[in-house]
Amino acid sequence: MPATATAALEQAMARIVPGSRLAYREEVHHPALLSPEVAEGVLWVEGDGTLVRAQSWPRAERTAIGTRFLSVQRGEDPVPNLVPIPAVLRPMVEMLRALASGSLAGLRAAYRLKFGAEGGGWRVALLPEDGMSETEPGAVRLFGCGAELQLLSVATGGDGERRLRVVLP
Amino acid sequence: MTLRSAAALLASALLLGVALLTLEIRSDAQGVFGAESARLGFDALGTAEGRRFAMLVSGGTEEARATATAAALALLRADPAISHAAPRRLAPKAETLDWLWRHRFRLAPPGASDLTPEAMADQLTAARRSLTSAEGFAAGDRFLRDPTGSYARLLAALSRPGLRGGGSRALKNATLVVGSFADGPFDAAATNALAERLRALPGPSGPRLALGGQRFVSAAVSAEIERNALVAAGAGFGLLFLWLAWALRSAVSLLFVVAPVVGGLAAGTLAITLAFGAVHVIALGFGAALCGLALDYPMHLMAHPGADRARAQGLIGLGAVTTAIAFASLLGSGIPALAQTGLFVATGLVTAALIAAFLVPPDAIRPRILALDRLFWRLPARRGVLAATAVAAVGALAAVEAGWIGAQRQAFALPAQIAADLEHLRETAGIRDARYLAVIDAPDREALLAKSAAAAAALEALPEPVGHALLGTVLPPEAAQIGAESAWPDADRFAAEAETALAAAGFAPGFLPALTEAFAAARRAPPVTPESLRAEADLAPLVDGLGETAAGYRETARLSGVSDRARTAAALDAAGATLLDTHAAAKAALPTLRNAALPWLGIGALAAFGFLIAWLRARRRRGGGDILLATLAATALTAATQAVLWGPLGIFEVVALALVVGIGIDYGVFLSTDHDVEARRSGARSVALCATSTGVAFAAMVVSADPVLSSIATTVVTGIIAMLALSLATDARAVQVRS
Repeated sequence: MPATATAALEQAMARIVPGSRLAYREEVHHPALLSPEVAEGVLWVEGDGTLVRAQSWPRAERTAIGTRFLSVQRGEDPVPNLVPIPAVLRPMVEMLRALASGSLAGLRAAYRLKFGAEGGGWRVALLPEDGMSETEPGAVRLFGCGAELQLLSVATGGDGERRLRVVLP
Repeated sequence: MTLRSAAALLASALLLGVALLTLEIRSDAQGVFGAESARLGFDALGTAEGRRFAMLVSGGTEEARATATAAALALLRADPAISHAAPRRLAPKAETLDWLWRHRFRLAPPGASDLTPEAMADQLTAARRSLTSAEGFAAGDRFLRDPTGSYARLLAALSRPGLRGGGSRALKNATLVVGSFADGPFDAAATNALAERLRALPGPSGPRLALGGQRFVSAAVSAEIERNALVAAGAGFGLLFLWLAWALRSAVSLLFVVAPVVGGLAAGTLAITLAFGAVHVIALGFGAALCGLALDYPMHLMAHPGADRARAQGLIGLGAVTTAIAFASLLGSGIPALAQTGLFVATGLVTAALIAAFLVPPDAIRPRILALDRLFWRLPARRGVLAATAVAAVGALAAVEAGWIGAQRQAFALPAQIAADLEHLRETAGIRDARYLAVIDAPDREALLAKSAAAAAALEALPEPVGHALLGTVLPPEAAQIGAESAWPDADRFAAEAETALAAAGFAPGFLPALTEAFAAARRAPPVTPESLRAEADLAPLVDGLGETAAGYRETARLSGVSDRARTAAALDAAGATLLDTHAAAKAALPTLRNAALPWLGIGALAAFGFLIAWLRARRRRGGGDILLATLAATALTAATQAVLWGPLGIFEVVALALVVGIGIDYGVFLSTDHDVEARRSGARSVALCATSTGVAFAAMVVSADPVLSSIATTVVTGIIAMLALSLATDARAVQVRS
């Protein structure tokens, strides 16, 4: 099955044209919430490697994610808010960058990829450190079926989870 | 050599020895402006802002940058003059965020209005919305677990641009290191040496290393001034030596010329050491230049051999005492550096004249000199013309001061290397020098933090908010932290209110235990002090601006985005703080010195000329009025020429003019028309020797790269020419002498 998952993931990645824009729908699940918080937008990687997340719902917000910092600009505010990328979000950012650029090379170099079966499809877990479980904050799992990417899941603090569905072109 | 001469030389050598053993030089602003220095902002290098620095490593490969940055950090951290240095962070790291989360109720205490079910429901709704934003990513679920909004307010306060240590720009191909010098005296040479070692680290083909910060800038400026002064002094002394060697033709003669000046300089510094404890570098520079006048004394003696010598000694004494009276007036200026200059010159010239009086140059010494007596020229209605010249020159000076005519004096230019570094820091990292500072004084730390918070609130309430790094923004006084506890309900009451809030906001009731647990933990955190902030590396820069003074505590914080200076000053003033415009203070520095010196020099000049005229009248001799008039006209003409050509006069030009006045008195008493033909000729010869010597020494400085040295030299050389031309202008009877 791992070999099948690897092949399926590579097939899915091969469908992505580098630089193309990927529409996404994000759901934030948390024990405090009776229903998930939802956001929608578009993702892409710019020529210099910056990952851009342009959110259109629930409010317009543009997040540019570089190698060490991310800047957030919303509405008419001309001054972007600049913050370092929290360590807990790095795997997710790197996974999104890989998806938007259509290349797993960067991920394979920096992370341990753990492939497995999930229902009728496959699952790839991106674990920053050896021994880390798939449910620890920061751990990223990518679910798919055949050459279809279905869901990106990120474990967050307090038993929360982010679920991101990406629509490939 | 006579016994008398040997004793004079020995006295000179002894004075020099004692002066060198006791000499202590200071260069701080306190020594220049005394108690006024803090108000004017001239003690900047000692403040937290003055000690702060930035280092930008840019270009080259990432590996080369990392290597150079690591080496530079190691060098900086090993230097005892450096308090701390670290790569800049634009936001706290995870460990710091954990610390802030634990202490949020101390740093941003929730009030009673934040703890109502309605307020908490609103806060929970906002926290839910933020989950899909980047901030929500970064904060995890902490906004959800803090319905009081304390953590959100704290992060918002910490994300103010002013609190990021300057420069909020993300850097590409560059690493920014920020740090601070330790709280100690500024050592220009050591700071420059450190800068040179840092710049050499990347190697010629490595990344570029740029340095910024007031201490690095001051050190670079000091080094350049020192280099230029050394070159100018070397060239001046070299030319002077060559000229004297040619004119005097013997080493013994040179010794006779130098000994009174050396003795005078030594006596001047000794007098300051006794009266003030240490010699300020400004007094040393000005005093040494003015005491150069004493070089003339032995030359006058050499030019008056035989029976003329006794008269020359008397005239030297008259000139020295008259000039000493003029400069002693500076003791009343109230500006320590000027008072020291006055004492230096008065003591130095009188001592030099005494030593010169004891020295008996051999009659065999016949200096080669220009026959100046041939240059007396006839000026009809001399007194009227001189008076008119003086009046016209003073009018021109007034017109220049009013900005009606004349050039604007060239702005001071930073040395090329540091200017390029500062430009690079501005362009690449958005780091600018802090023009505006907020200064807060209070008798104790609690009062200071309260005023700091009030000042922060006043700035934030301005129509165009001003960026600032005031500690009061994030750290309430300890009493306020403890006092805020009274608004916090007990755990049961909080649970009841929170349960209502959860329901109102549409949250899961099962989340209540997480909320109450987080609330109880925040309540238990101990009060936060500046020391506990300093212990957190990311937060330590917030406390940099806090320091102790003789009267209590002071906070100095840089401001950014000040568009309305008057409004900002008024807002700070209302909060008990002061706005300091460092540019205006720096611009005001030299005019402040000049304006303090001018009236006292004027009083001194009046007293000196009063003494001169009284002395001459007591001896039934005339000429005092002529000397006064010629000196006044030549000085005014020199000042006006300098002002029209180069712009309004500063303190350096005023001191150079004071030297011109001294020269005028000196030349005047020797060229006085009240003597016989031979006496006039001897006087003219000695004045020619002195004028050439002074002119030669200062001519070399005219071309100095340092605008101040060049300006002083131009003023003195112009003054000598004007003084000679007007002193040699005479009436018909004197012209007959020449023929």
